[in-house]
Amino acid sequence: MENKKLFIGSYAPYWHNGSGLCAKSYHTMLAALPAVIMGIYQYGAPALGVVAFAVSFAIGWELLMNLVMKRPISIGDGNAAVIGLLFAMLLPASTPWWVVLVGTFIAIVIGKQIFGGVGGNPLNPSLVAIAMIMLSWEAMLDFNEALVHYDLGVTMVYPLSALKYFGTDVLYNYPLGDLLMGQEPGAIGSTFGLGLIIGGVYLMLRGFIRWEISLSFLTGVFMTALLFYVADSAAYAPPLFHLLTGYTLIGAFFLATEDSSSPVNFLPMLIYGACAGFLTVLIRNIGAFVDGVVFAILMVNVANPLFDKIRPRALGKRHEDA
Amino acid sequence: MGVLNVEAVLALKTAFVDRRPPVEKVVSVIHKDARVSLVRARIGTPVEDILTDLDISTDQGDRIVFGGPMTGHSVYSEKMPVMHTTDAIFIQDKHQIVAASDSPCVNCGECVRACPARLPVNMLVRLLENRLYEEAAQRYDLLSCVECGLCSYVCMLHIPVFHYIMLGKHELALQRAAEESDGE
Repeated sequence: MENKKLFIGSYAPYWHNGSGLCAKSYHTMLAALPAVIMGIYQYGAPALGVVAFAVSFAIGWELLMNLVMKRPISIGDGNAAVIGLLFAMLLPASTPWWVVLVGTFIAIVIGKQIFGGVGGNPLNPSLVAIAMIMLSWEAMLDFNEALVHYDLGVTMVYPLSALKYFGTDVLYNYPLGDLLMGQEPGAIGSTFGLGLIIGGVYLMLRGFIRWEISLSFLTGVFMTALLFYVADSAAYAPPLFHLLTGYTLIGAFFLATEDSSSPVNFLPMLIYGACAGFLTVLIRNIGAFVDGVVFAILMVNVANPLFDKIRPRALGKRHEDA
Repeated sequence: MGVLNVEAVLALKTAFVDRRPPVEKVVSVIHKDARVSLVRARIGTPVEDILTDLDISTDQGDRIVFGGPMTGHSVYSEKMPVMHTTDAIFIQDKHQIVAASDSPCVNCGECVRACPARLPVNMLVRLLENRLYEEAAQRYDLLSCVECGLCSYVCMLHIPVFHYIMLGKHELALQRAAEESDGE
């Protein structure tokens, strides 16, 4: 054959909508920025330090695992950075560097890489890390103890622990407007409710997260809290308080929606979100922990493969009763 | 009931009314910059001649597709002839080609929501990557696929999902044929 010019042979389709994991990661980080910037504004350099440490350590662990396991370098897809950023958003500003180091190790290595990297993790890596830190060094995530040297000019008691230990009598200290605007002590990136909502709505509109999960999670929290509140309004906090405190908003928009640990079909997404919201309020109102979001989402992560068995019947398939 | 396109009707008319064999074909050529030219070519004309006529220069590593961008077939050489089924020739520059990747699925669910046949594509691709064709057909409805190619189009990891599905169907057909001939 005199003409050696060869063309690319490949299977259809020959067009692509241009989406990519990288774009998704960077948009997620962009959406998280308002809340993070508010945290850095409130707590200053220590908060910036925790965020910078967490993101860079997470990328570092990912790179190390890539090299150790002789896999292609995957830090470019931004997933490790997202995990690190979300982990930092759940920490108080005073967290020492070694907790961040250990936490990102748990998130990246134990939470993600040993399952085969991005897409293989059955649980949300950031939440695995925060849960382990919560159980191993309880004091590190006790926001009252951690933020004892800070004064934001508002009641410096973490709203959820105030609710847990002093009952609903102290709730007048936390007007809903303040909670929405981040005027409360708490983690770096999870107190500025408005910022999280803006970020979440942006992600939902751009299609980077599934709105079904976020909205059903919030509905689950609201409805369960409402039932408790209606049953005994002296003992339980009103539903809007639950929606705006703790990790609820960051959980709804950034944690519960993590791809590989959440369902993809319509009905399972609703069940998944509602179950997570239900468990959150149950743990807060009845359970031993101050905030329930971490364990609630981890628990529905475990149940996720089961939820996703509920799926529409494929085209041309008849119902088969064995 | 069958549907005939205008060109087929015209070909019938040429054959039965004018008593001439329908040997010509109108082909739309989609240039690299998405311009479209209509070309009348005799069936059997090599693509090369059409490209030269239209002043389209191609290079090693470009892509020539017979058919449209979603369901066409790519060819490896300019010597391939225009057939009676070739409605369009679609030329892609090598910089426009999005390479497929072997990254694992992250379960984002874009394909599941795009699929018109309501297949669990996220599960299907996991089985097909591991060559579990029989299981894919039984548990995850592989054979319900209508071959539209949307799953590959939306995949944010550039997994060649549609390729896997067609390969799975092909392998399954081979397996089943082998089983049938064994039975005799």
